[in-house]
Amino acid sequence: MLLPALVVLGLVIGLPMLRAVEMSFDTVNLRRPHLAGKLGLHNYDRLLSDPRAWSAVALSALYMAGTVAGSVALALAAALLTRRIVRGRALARLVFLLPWTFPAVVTALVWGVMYEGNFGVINRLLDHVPFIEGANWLVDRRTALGALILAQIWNEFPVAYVFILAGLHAIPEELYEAARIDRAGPFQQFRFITLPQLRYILAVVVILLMIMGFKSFPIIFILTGGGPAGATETLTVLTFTTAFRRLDFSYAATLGILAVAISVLLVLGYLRLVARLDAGRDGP
Amino acid sequence: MTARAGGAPRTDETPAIEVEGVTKRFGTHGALDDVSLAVAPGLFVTLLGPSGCGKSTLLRAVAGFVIPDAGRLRIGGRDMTREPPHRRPVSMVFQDYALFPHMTVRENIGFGCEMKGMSRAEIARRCAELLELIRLPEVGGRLPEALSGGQRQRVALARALAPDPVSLLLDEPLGALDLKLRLEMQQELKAIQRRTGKTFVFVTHDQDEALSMSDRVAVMRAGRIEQIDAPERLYARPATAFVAGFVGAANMIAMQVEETGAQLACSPVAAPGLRWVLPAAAVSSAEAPRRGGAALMVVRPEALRVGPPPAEGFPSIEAEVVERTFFGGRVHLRLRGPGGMTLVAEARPQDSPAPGEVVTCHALPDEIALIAGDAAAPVPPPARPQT
Repeated sequence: MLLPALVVLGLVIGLPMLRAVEMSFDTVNLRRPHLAGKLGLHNYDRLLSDPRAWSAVALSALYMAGTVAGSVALALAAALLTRRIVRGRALARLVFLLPWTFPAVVTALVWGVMYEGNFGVINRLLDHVPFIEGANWLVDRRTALGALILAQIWNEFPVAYVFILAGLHAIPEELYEAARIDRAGPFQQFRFITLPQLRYILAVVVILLMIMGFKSFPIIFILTGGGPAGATETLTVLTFTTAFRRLDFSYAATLGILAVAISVLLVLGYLRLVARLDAGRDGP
Repeated sequence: MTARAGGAPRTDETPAIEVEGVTKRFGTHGALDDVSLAVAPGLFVTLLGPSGCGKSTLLRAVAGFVIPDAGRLRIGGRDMTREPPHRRPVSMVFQDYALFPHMTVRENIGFGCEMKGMSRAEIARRCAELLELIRLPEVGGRLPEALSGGQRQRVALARALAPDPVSLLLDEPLGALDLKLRLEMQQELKAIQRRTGKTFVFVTHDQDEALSMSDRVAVMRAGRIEQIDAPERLYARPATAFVAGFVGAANMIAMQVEETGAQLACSPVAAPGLRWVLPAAAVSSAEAPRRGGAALMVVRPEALRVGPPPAEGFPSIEAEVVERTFFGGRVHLRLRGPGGMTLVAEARPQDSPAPGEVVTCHALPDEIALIAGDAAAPVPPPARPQT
């Protein structure tokens, strides 16, 4: 029964992957078509000594770390906030889930308008805050990556919110009552019950968000295109621009292979974690 | 309704727990209706009643998880009506144990001590002491998931005892255990209560559990305490028809009171031709019988003896044996008396008549309880079948 699915997967994913691997050993560059057919490890050699590629990997890691930390913190706060409310619970949950329903393109456009230097709502609001000045958020090297991370957090924290809220609801109320009667205050309840009880869910959420953050492309590409001056050029953006701006498909394929390798490592981490959790659930 | 769970040890002391006119409503549902109760220190008191009678709500009100709409609540003589749970000198054992699954047994037991600010050395000593008390000194490093149900229950008990509370509240703590383990744990709980000398307030719907473990049992119905007494007295002298039906099996015969005074004369409603004379001391209800009024005669199956009465004037009745059920050392006889009265008697297998035989049954006057007035009003069928 698995065979048809494997065949389809092989055709849809396997073949293009193989083609990409093959291309990474070739020299397919539409600006220099005469080099096509020159096979070798020269693209990998170039990758190892390409500071732009490694800067992109570092930016991807930074972007991933920022979005994961921000999304988890925001989702945890939102889930704790909406867990016990009775009145308007459905509305509150809808509000927190709404950003997830927005396509990344729409999110990018909305945040683009908000970040706009002259008439963007963020600068307009900051006009009323003393000692803090507005900025050209997406144009300034110092603020561009942070601005993108914020937009990405807004778009993907509902994923974490759903997981964490489900996790919170699975914690028996009696544990909190037992802690309360043992004199544990709200912070101690959070530290000694909520966090340890959520640890498996948080671990899964973090890895899922890492994968999502690392693969993230549309928000960055639409808002900054990797700029200003490469300040937001993550590996996915560099791969895209190498292929479709510089038309160097072989080197883009090599960057793609690197991205896949990193993603595979993250997925392996995720699978290992899930296996460990399953083993834990089976008992001692 | 006021009830006092004292009497035996140290009744002169300030009650460990005092509930005064507590009322609690959840929406339109009245969970507690003007409940009053005083528990003397060092007693094992059980709140017994069917599901939804308010026993757990009363316990949770004492713990501080439910704030009463009206009434007062004192623990150790101090008003704690509106105090949060962590300010009350009580601990609680939950039905599903509520052990912290990510903490070892020792960490679970030490949690309350840690929150109380005790030093590490003190906590370690207290944990060791309690693990000895529950006879599980070897499980301190294990996680709760590695323990059996009975072991978890004992650890939950140790955790509740660790911060040295004045009283321990136990919310159906044996409900999740199988019968054999439950019987073992009943003995264990009672033994631990005796050793620690703490006040235990125990909630259950199981009458056998209540009767076998408690110094006092408070029977609850529809948010009120019907009667609070020592188990033996509760069984022998039920104050209401509900208590008679809920605690143990009982023959409940509707009566009409004909004469009052030092002796009471009454007739079964189903058989007006019969006339039984009882001492006034047979009356177990708060309300005294009135001439011409209704009453309920309660005779336990083991008190309804097959055979002629030893002396004239003892309540006796002729009945046909309808069914004989063998239970090893005893048999249950289902009897049909005059006017279609159905009675249940217990007999030794070797003395018991066969179905179809007509026998004379009698009861000794001091084994009969007579409930008069409103308390004799019929109640919905009890939770347990009267076998």
